Amino acid sequence: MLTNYQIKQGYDEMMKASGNPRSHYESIHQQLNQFTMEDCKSRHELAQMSFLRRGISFTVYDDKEQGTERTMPFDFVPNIIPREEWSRIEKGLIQRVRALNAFLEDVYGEQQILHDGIVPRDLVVNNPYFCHQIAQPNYANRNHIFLAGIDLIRDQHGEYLILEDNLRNPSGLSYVFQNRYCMRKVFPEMFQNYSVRSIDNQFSYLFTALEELAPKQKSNPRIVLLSPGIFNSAYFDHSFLAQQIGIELVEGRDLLVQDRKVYMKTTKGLKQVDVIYRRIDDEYLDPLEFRADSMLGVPGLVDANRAGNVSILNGIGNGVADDKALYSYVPSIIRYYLNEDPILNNVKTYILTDPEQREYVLEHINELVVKPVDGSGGYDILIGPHASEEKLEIFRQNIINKPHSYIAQPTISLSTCPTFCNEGFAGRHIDLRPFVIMGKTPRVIPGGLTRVALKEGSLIVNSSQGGGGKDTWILDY
Amino acid sequence: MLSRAADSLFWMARNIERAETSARLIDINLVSMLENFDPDIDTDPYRWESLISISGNKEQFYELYEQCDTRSVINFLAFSIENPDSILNNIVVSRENARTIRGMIPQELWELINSFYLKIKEYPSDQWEIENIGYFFQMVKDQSIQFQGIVNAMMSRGEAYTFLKMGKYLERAGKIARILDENIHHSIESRFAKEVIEHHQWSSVLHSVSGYEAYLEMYRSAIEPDQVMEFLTFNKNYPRSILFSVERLIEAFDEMEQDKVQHYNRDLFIALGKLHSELKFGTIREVLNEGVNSWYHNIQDNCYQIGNLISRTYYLGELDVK
Repeated sequence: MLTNYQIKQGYDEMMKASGNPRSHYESIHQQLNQFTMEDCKSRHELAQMSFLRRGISFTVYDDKEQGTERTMPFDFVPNIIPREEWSRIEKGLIQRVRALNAFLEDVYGEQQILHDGIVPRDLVVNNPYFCHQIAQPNYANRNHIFLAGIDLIRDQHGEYLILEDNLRNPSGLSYVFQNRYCMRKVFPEMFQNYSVRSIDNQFSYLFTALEELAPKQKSNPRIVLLSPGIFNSAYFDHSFLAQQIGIELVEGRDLLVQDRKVYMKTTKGLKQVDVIYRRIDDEYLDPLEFRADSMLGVPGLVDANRAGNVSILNGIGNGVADDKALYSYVPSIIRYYLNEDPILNNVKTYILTDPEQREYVLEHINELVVKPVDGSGGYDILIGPHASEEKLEIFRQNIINKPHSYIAQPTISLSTCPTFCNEGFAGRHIDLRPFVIMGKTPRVIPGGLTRVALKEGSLIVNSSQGGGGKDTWILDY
Repeated sequence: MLSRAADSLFWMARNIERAETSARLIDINLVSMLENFDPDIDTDPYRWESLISISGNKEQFYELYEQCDTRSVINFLAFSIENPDSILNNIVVSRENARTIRGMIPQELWELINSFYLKIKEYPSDQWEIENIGYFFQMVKDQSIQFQGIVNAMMSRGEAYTFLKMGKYLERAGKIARILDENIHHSIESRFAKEVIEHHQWSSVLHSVSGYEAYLEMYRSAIEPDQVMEFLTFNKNYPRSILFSVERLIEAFDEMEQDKVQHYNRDLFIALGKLHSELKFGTIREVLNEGVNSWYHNIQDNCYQIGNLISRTYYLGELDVK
């Protein structure tokens, strides 16, 4: 099945330019070659059905209030990363998240980095995600980040680059596990000849980290996962994680704040809550502090946090550190707090408020990718080489009118990985989101979510726009 | 556990039980109608109307449908979106409840409820024929039995299980009282002898709770109203008797409270105790003397009160700040 596999330009995960598979993909390559088209089709189908049957889906609600369930399409060719490569990635990720954590502690505290002019003050204090409500926070371990999702891509030389940081509400963790379960169940023989690092024990690390982040080092803290509820499209993620980690899943209406302490409404009365792993955005978290019309939050939650009676993870106001505009400064941030050079590099980024860089971008806009600073979900992105003259012109104007709202980057040809499509296996662009757990010992979950752009040539991997997922294997030898 | 989760479990169990009961009742009625016993009885509106009283609301029915015939009744009781107690709505509610507490129930139970829901949604509710609508009710019964089986075989006997148990048996106790009440309620005029009518009617009641064989084992011979009432009210061994259901309910309460009566659960404890005594020490003679309708009305009231007390005791509870 793979004899006609074509490598377009750019780096392919499985195949070298010579047409031979990379050594860590040899066994998979052999196996896939032995599959027939029927094999592939039927097993691919089986995989999708197993997701739907298990209810691993997000609901798209139509007007009849009886929604349709959609699942993230799964592709069975894994993204395989050898041990040494992963080791470097791990170090780079932990370094980056430690630096960003220090940054958050600083900008909500003494703001030394702003005094020293490393990052423009304006970028931080006027950022819509900057929360003045949490000045001088007193977080356990001075930790603002419990779980980070850092998106990585590979350029045409195969070098890993950081695409984006997600320090607020990174989603997709449950798919990491579901993808692995699916592979094991539907394609068990693919694992032969491989020693793939297990992810089963990761839940206990998540639990331990949550415990370690309890306020005042309280022992046996009560930990909950605060979810917006069943109508949220990531609800399955929330309920799966809560169950696997071993913590209670709650909604805003199950909690109340009394005397600056947070309580949970149980069948035996009120029980105090110590740690909240919240999957609700800052805006909706507390109607007394943020959006007053939020029905999802808990009045007084932020105050309880300020009083040091409850830990809220990820911390409030993290948005100031994963901002696309701040992204170009992260290498300097790493040097500033850690005195080290970044192990993993950023994608080259043009800062459009700088006249010279802006000039360059306007002239070369058809070669570049332009992104809004506060976008998500892959919408409203300009991919220069794919765009119509009309769209290019719109973005030119947007940049001229609001240069602070956009950044530009060279069009990186993301790496490709063989993916099963109607006609057989074809190369599709992927990215990787590893998850970093910041307990007392920072850890990176082995692998992470590999997302694949299912449409030919597309560089947009988000599931809301037709992206799919792959299992990610970190090899143990 | 979270009050809201307990609430979802309780109502999920009630709704599944309710759906199964409806399915059984309608099915039996349909079967005996198809057997064409007596044309007068078949077109007897009381027959279908009493079903509507048990599983729905007469006023609402007549608002929605012009006449009381087989088709409209089944539509109302099985598929109506407007009837909050239609089988369709029972399952929709169960499924929503199940989604809320997915983390607390076995994966297989969730999958079962989900597929139950999908089956009902996909059923051509506007195109059914009397000849094959029986399959629908059979499906409902089967799914319900599977639900019970999975709960029984796979759930740890913890708080979640206990709330399911409470919901199921409270629903059952109240419903049986309601069914008996309805059946005593009306007399049927017919050209056949009274005994024959009664035999037919009360056989149906037994069949609708799958108790026909169990009854015969105890009472042999004739199907007499008094005996059927006694069997379904005071028998402590038959799972669909009121006494049996109340004893299971008390068991659940004891498991929850670990046999401790405290100020917050005292009212519930007393209400359960009083209802239990009536059933444990009562006889059918006393019921007949007091007047059957008012006696069964009382039982239903008690069940309703107990439902409220359960809500108060576990969902709002005492605000205990230590």
